[in-house]
Order: sequence, then structure tokens, then C-alpha cells
Amino acid sequence: MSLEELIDNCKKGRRKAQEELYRKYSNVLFGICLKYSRNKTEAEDNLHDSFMTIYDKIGQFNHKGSFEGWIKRITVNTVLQKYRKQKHLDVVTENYGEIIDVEVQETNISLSRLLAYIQELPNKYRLTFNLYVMDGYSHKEISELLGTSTGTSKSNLARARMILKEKLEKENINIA
Amino acid sequence: MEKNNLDNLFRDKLKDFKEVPDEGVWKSIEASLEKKDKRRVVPIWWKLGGIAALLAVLFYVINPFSADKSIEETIITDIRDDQTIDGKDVFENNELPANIKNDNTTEVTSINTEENEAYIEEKEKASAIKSSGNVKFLNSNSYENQNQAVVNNNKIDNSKNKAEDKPKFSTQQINETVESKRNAVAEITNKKPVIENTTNTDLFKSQEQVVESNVTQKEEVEDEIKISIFDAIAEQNQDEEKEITEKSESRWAMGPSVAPVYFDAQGQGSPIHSNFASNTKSGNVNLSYGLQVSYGVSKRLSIRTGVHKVDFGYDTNDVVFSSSLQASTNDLIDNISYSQASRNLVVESKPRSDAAASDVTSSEFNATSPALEGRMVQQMGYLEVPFELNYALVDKKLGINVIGGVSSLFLVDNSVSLESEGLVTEMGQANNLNDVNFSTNIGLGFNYEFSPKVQLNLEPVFKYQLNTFSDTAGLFRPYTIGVYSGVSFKF
Repeated sequence: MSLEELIDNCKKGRRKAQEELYRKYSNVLFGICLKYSRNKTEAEDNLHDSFMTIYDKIGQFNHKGSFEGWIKRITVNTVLQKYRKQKHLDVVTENYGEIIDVEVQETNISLSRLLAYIQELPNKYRLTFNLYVMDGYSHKEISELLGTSTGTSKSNLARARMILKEKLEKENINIA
Repeated sequence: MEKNNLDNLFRDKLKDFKEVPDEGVWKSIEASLEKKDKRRVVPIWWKLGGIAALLAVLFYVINPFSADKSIEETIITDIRDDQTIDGKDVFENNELPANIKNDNTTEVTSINTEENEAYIEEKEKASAIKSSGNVKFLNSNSYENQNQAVVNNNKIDNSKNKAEDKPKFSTQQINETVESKRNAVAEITNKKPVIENTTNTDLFKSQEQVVESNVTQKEEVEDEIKISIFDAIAEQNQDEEKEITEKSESRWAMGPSVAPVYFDAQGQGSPIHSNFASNTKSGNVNLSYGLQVSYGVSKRLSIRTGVHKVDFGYDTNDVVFSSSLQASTNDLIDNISYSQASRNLVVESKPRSDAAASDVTSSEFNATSPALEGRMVQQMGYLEVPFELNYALVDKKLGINVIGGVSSLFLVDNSVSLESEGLVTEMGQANNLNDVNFSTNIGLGFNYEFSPKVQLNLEPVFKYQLNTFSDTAGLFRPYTIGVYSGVSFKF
């Protein structure tokens, strides 16, 4: 089944197609959710909500532009919506759940560590860092998405970087 | 460039980071999707179910399938059915049910459609009865004819041939009929000696059994008919469904209503006497309660009426009263019909100041009894029958309406009394109150729908009384303000 057919069948609400779509993209979207969420459990919740939104809105997708880009944006927006409601500047230094057990090779062992560092960032720092560094949003876009000013966005990014740097230094990882 | 290094480190490692989620996530998504689908499906079934239930009730009441006909009629119908299946002429003989023998004959007739030869041979005697399936015998009502048929065993083959010659109907249909009849026939064959001896009572017994099976069968047929009708209705387009739902919407609503009603008047006059025109008057708050019925003319407009018991009252302040030694017509107030015990009461407006009070009056008071200061209370009780229009400005769960109309008020209670220091003295009745009074009403209504059937109402209504009094001293135009609250039930 081509992607187009798959999407069309999803539009018709066919359960098989919906499942296939999930199988195809859940790993990509779960990656995003893990980066934007505070822990695995919340990431799973966010993935669930994102897919529900995707199935709900898929009728609006008109095959213009990348489908993957479209569902990624939906996922990011779903997560943002969730954390936007919460107090952003809560100092979140508690350990949230287990560190994600990422199946990676020996050389990539720090990947799960890096992910954990991001997850441990306070909400707004984490979202800003992800949006700016991972997904290439501008400060103007971020300020609109998070309902702040570009100044706040810049300062949030700086603080995020500072915290991450401190954590890396503790691990004796020199990034200079 | 520390910043870039840091960014690059994370970006390189995590930009295209993928992770396969646990299987539980898909399960929960699937569950949510199913829940959503169900939510979509259920209301349609509820609607259809509602329509079906409504139609079922309607059909039951209107009775297009003659479900309520007496057993006698049922038998006739059944015989006609048999006739149709057999391809024979329809009986026109309405007296058939009265003729027990004939009924039995008819029952047996249906066996003729049985193609099972073994069955016929096995039940030789019964087959003998089958020969009565011959139209000649059927048309004859006489007991003798049937007996002949029973005796006449030679006709077995003949009747069998006839069965084969008959026009082919749906075999299944015929078989069904035959199946359902078989028991009845078995009963009859068991009672063969009885049939042959033909005592009326025993025949009647077997007829009862036949009737029972007939009724059951008939009900089954009806169920089938009904179901097919509902199917047809379900296939109708949505517009029609909407129409039906709209038509079936309850237009009538009824419910109790209660209100504190404040009565007061415009103008300085007094309906009791010109003496009291200058006295201050204060309105009283009384209770109105009653039943309200409304009928929805359209979605937004409804007419309503009802019956309310309402009391009005106001006080004329600053009056002095004393009792004179003897009843004096001069001192009586024209507008009051004094009660017997109160004829010697003298009621006057309290003098403005001591200086204004004449010495004569004072001495008079002193001579009789000490004058009491108090207020004069006029109470009127009415039965109110409103006729109002209610227009919904906002027709939502919380609705806002404007209300306008007129009320007819029928006087049922009328009293004037004096109150002083907590003591009440009955004076009598006002005789200038009209027995029938009208008011014009205008108000606002707020309602809150608890359910489609039940709503809570709160209605502040201003009612301007048109002709409470037949004559008043000075300008005295009464009005009432009531806040009516109540619950109304749609049906």
C-alpha cells in the first residue's frame, strides 16, 4: 500500500490502516515525544494524544508537503499544548522515572544520558531547547508557540544550555 | 564556540532519535479509537430506537394490524389465510366461528397441502378427515356433511391428487403452515373417536387448542410484518427522520409555580376613603402559587395558561381607630361593608400634628375609649387565569424568554382589617372591589433545562392591574411584581 493509499484509508477510518500508520511512524514520533517530555510515561501519553489528533485531523491533510513533517508538527504541538498549561518555570530537579533504556551500541552509550539531561530540564527550557536546537525553530516562532517574548525565549535557551553544560562537565565530558 | 559544540553534540545524537514505543501504547490508542467510534454510533441507534418505540406505541394504539380483535375474528382471519394458501375461494361465511365442526374441518384442510405421503398413509384415519378438505364439504356448515366426510375413506387418493393439482405456492410458506398445524391435527387425531362421536363439548376443547396455535402463529406473522416496516423506516432518508423527531417533540409542558408577589400602587389616592388619600401606603409581599400549562406553537413561541391563587395586600399607614359607643352610620366608610362586630369602629387618618387634631375629636376619643394607632390592611385574594405568550430569545440549556399577556383575576377573598401593636381587628370587606379584574403582564423568563423533559423556570413578571377597584379616591393604580419560580415537565 502506498503512503497515499494508507492516508486515504486512514481518512476513511479503517482500523487496519490506522494501525499500519502507527507502526510506520510511531518510532519517529515517540523519539520526539521522549525529547519533549519529562519522562517515558509522559512521552507515551503524549504519543497517544498525538496519534489521536493525527487520526482526527488526517482528513485535513491534502497531500501537499511532507506527511512526516505534518505529523511531526502535530506531535510537537500536542506536547507543547500539554506543557504550556503547566507552570513553566517550576524548578524541576527531581528525578522523573527511570532513565530511558535506549538500545544503542556501546559507542552511543551517552545517548540515553543526553536524553535524560534534556528530560530533566524544566519544562520551558526543555521545550525551547528542543524547538531551537533539534527542530530549527526561530526565537520568534518559539515565542509564538509558547506565548512568551523572543527575549524570554533567548534567555530560556541560554539557561537550558547552561544547565546542560554543567551536567556534561560533571560527567567530565569536555565540549570546548 | 562552546554553544555550537553543545548544540551540535545534542543535535547529532538526538536529532533523528527514534524509539519504538511499548505495545501498550497502540493498545490504548486502539481502545480510544473504538470508544470514539462507539460514541459516534450510539446516538444514531438511540434515535432509531426512539422512533421505533414511538411507532410501536402508535401502531399499538391505532392498531393497523387488528391485533386486538377478538378470538372469533382471529379464527376467521386464519381460515381465510388457509383458503388463500390452498388457492380456494375465500369464505364469506362470518358465522363460521360459531360452527365448531366447520372450524375443525378447516384446520384439517390445511393438511391437504402436506406433500408427505408417508404421513398421509400413516394416519389413515386422519387422512379420511382430510377428504373433507374438498370445497364442497367446507362450504357446508352441517355436521352431517362432515361426518360423511369422516366416514368416506375412499376419498384419500382423490384428495391427494387435489393437493398435487393445486397451484404451486412458496413451498416453505406452506410447510411452515403445515408444521404449525401438525400439532393441532395430532390433537384432533388423538381425539378421533371424539370427532367421530362428535360430542359438542369435546369438539370445543379441540377447537380451543387449534385457536391457541392459530393465535401464536398469527403473532409471529405480525412480528415479521412489524420488523419489516421498521426496516423500511430505517432506510428512509435523514430529512424524514428529522421530521419525525420534530413532530414527536413534546409540545405540552406543565408544572407548579410559586412566587412571592409584591403589591403596590401608583398614585396617592386611596381605594378605601378620601380621608386616607394622604396616608402613606406600603405594599405587602404575598404568595402566589398555582399550576401552569404551556403549549409550544413553534420552536420558540409558546402559549401558556394556568390557574394561580394569588393574594394581594397593602397597608394604609398612620390610621387611628377607636370604638364608638354606638354604631354610627356617619362614621362608617362607604367603601367598606362592615362586619357585624365592627360596626362601632371609627377609623380615621391620624392627624398630621397634635395641633391639627381638633379638641372635639380628642375629647370624643377620650370619652369613648382610647384611640389606637395602627394601620389598615386591605387583603384581596384572587384566582388568576393568565393567558400569556412566551417567546424564547435564547433557546439553549439556559434559556431567556420574554413573556407578555393578560390575566383574568376572579375575586375570592376580600378583607379589610386593622392592625395595631400586633393585634388584628377585622373591619369588614371592601365593596368597591370588582369581582373580575384584568391585568396586563410583561416579564422575563429564565429557564434551565435539567433534562429534555424537565426544566426550572425563574420569571420576574410585572402585572399592571386594570380595574381592581370600581371607584377610588384619588389616583390609585395597583400593580404587582412577582418572581415566579417553578418546574415544568414536558409530555
